[in-house]
Amino acid sequence: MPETPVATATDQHPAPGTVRPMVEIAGLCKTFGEHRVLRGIDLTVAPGQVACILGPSGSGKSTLLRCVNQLEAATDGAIHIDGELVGYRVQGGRRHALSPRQIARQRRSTAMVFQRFNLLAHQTALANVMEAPVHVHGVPRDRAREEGLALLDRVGLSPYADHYPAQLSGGQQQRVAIARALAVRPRVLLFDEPTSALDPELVDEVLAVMTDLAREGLTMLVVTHEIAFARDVADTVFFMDGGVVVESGDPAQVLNAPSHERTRAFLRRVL
Amino acid sequence: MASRTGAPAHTGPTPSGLEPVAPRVRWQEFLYVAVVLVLLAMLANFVLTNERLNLPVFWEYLFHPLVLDGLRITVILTVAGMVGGTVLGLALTAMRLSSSPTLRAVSFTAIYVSRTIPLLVQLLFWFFLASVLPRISFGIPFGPEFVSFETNAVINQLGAAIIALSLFVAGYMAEIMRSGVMSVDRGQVEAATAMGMTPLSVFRRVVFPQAARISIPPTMNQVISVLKYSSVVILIGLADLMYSVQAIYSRNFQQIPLLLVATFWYGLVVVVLTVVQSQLEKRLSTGLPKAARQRMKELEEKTDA
Repeated sequence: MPETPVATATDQHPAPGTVRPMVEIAGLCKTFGEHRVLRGIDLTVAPGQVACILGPSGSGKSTLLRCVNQLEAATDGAIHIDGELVGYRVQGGRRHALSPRQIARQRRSTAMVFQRFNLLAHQTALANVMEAPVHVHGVPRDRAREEGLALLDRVGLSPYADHYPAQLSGGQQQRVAIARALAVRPRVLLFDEPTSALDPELVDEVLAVMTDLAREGLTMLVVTHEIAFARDVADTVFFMDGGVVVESGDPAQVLNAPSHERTRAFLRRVL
Repeated sequence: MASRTGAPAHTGPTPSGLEPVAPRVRWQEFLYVAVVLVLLAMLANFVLTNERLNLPVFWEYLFHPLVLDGLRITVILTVAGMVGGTVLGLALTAMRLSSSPTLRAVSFTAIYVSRTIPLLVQLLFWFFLASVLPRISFGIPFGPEFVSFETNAVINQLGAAIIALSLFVAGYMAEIMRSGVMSVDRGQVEAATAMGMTPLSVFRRVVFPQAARISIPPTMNQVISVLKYSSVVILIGLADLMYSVQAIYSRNFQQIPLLLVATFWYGLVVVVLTVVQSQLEKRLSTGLPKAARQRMKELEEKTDA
């Protein structure tokens, strides 16, 4: 992938209407029974930018991410990915829910890295990386294999191509999961607390890979507790609490000089 | 090298200069072996010195054509009942796990019925079906018929037995497969879904291979049950293994030797099934932590060599 300079948060924000946002979330609400997890989220990520979503457990960060690739159906609000409305087709002034097959098709523009890795347990590392290209995108097996090996090499795991997930450490599994996510050349990479299930000494190897990806100009939406990663790598930081975005903006400003008491309380606890 | 229990196997001083570890003697093991040997001796004495047992009859009838024909029918019933039951069970599972409340209710009811009606009742019901439904016809419901058959011509003894066994097995297989599907980690399904797989691909590529592995032991239990339950067909006069030995001992009154003949053949089939099961489990165990450890060991040995 071509090397693109890191976009910095403020100076590269396009004037409205010039560059189409890669991810645009407006008024997103999600209710589980009586429990209102998301209460009107507005969030925009420009192409090539890294957005980190921070916040205490139960603030709705993961649910927000899972709405973007439709693992959860939003209760209200709209999500656009690269200009395409997610989950609905508008016709005759009404929104019609897409069929499961159409939703599956839409999901192909994103890829997700899970907290618990979720590598397919019955397949080797290489087969995991090849799975989506071959069986979802119809890439010829030989080419997928070649690209899969290159991706494993890129995350430093080519010697482990034939290992099963159960034979790999957590950090190695998560790096395979990142290679698997890259294999489909997604327009947006979604990270759902990618280092939360890792032993402390394995966190850095995963963060290093993610930092590289950010430098290469991938659009990333990252739910994380790694404040240092957010400060160093993110273009924009969103701080969530109680199902709303409390504060957002340049990481230096949000993390070093938060303007809200809830942000300050959270940062005091994690730092 | 540490032994299985973790105790070091040094007989001399250990490398660190500590006293050698004395192996623990399990005295009770000698007692167990003695008891087992005495029981085996008693059994051998009973079998070898008992003239009433009449072992020559056992050998005489072991490969008797009637017995072998009966065995053939027993195997046919088991295979047909399992295949029919598995196909129906798979359909019931798919319906049970579908998002349609109607299909779920139909499946729930069918599984309930299949598991509630005793096998014997089902067998006799299908055998005597002609008395309430003399002709079976296919056509548009309440409309014209296209083809129709004499019920007794379609459902003979073997037909009734296969239908009854299939319907009996279907409910159990549906539950076995449902438990297999539900045991697959939710994260596996989410990962496949997030890749953009259609629900059918998720099932085919991820859920089924992992569920199949877990379903093998209970499925084999089911096969072995069907093998033995199939002997109820003697009540409709179908000449399976049990029917044949019964027919023979009702003439020569050598019940026990002939029951041993039946036991031998049932036992042999179970041995074959057990071998098939362990091979299948080995085949499908890729990625299991235990299999992974085994593979790791092989890799290590390869690099050591």
